[in-house]
Amino acid sequence: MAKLTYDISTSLENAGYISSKIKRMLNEWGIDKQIIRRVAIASYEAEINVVIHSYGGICNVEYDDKELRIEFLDRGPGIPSIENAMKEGWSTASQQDRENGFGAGMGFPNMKKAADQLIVESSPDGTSVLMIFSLHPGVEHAS
Amino acid sequence: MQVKDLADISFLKVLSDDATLDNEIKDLYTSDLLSWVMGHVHQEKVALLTVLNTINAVAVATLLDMSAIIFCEGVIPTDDIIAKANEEGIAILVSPASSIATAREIIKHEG
Repeated sequence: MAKLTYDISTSLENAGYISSKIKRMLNEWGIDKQIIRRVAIASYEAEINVVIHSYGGICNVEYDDKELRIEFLDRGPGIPSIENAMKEGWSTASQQDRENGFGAGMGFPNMKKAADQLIVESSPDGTSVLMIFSLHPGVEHAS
Repeated sequence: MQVKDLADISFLKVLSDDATLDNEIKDLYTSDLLSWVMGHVHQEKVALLTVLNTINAVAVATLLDMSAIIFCEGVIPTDDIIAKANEEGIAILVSPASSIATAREIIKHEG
């Protein structure tokens, strides 16, 4: 699997930079538009979470011809309850984040819907969000 | 309908480059919550009506292949929003009316 790593800036103005980069890359590969849309939605939500909730982090993108794995890793402070974070409408976003249009409590629900697989782990030391996308759904690959 | 058709509506003003006038608009959507937009806009070439004066609205519009953002209720987008939208080929319009009143006028205009 090829691997790319990006640093995530915690400045709001740059939020979406990494998801846009991933989207452009998939466009260049000629991936199905609906898959690109799902990847764009899920990666933007995960990126925004790192920007507004964390002390900073990185994004690893790994891929081969079948699968795309996008992992967001941050340095804390962790999600108080992953179970709650998965519920629509639950959010710990600050008043300022809300004024910027965030804090709808739709981040993880959107990621869950958009990704083929979503694995979230969190502790006060950091959160990892792994999203896996099949690049050619419905196609059986001979191993 | 295209962005240039919206420019015919007297109270709507296009602030982005002329290159965005040919953008096609297939549908309208209104929300001021970005994740809500992310989770609920299921097609491309949608125009977003919002009061959210933030560069992140352009990021969302780009990721969802939207054709335009219409800032309503007299909200005037900052220069960096317009510059970013031009770079991404997204039309920026402003309306003094509410999202609903603006949408109603657009639908009427489309006839």
